[in-house]
Amino acid sequence: MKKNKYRGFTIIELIVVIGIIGITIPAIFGIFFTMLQARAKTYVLQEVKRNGDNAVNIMETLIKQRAVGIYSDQTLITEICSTASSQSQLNDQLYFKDKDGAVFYFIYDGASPSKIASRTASATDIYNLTNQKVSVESSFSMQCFRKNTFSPPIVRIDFDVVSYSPTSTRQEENAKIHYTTQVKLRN
Amino acid sequence: MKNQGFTLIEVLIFTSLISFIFITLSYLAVNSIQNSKIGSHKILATHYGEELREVLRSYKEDDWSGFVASIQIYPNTSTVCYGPINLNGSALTETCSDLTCSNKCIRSQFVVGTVPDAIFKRYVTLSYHPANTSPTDPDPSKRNQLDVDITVEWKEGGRTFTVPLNTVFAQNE
Repeated sequence: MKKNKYRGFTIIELIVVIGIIGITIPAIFGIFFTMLQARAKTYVLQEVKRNGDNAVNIMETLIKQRAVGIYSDQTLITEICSTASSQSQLNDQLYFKDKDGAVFYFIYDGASPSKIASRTASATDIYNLTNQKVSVESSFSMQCFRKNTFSPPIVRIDFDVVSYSPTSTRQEENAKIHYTTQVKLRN
Repeated sequence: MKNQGFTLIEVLIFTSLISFIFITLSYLAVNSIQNSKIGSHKILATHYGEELREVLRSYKEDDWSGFVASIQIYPNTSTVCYGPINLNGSALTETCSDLTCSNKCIRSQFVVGTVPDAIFKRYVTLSYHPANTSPTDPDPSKRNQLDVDITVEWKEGGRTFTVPLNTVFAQNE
């Protein structure tokens, strides 16, 4: 053994130690990162579902409880879906007349983040059904039809809610949920 | 002895301690990842269950007798698999012979969900509500309440998870 005044680690020892650290640290951080990612994904999905559920619930309840007729114009002149043959087209805007004769309707607002808004005749009366964290895809559609002349009209609602975040571009944290339902007018 | 180092025993104890800690930590980490995945699948499963509930509700509101006839509740209970729902067409369904659909709904066209989460199996058990209805009663007004038990089921990591969703449908009017 060579006499050495300075006692320390040899180069081999250092290389081995650094090598081991170099293997374990990325592994630990990898696991940690995956954990955070899974959590973020769950959070995003939760947010999408919460917003979609809320939007679908409000639309269903309003149409079911309040609507008495469906019209193709805001002034409530041309009634549609009043007979079995007058089915609305896929992209038609539907206007609902409530018990008091007032109009209410749902519009698709394409301004980013795109959303569904509930509106009445008043220009300032706008209520967004989804928040800033999600956007609604432009495939949003509302269609009315009637099985026969004596049964009330049915409104079919179809839309997709996706997560929205202007800063993040990570694909894996995106979530999308499709909503489809149909509501029968009660009144 | 001039070169003092560790004895074999010391090294063994040290490495076993370290490896024990590492194994525990990695187990916890993997468990946590799995749990949050299960959590997000639960959210999706609930959504598919609610979707089916709303669609079935719209069917029954639309036409009660047609709805009851279409699912053939015979003699008093029936379990039906529901594939993906597209309201423009009719839903893909299949009647199971057993209550848990253990051997049904497994064909690929019945799988609900989008890739990579296309793992859900969805079925509904419909039976006449026992409290105030009798399934054998010839009077149709006595058969106006249905117990609806929707189950969304999926397999993950060797385990089977279910999200149950129960409701009662009643005939309007």
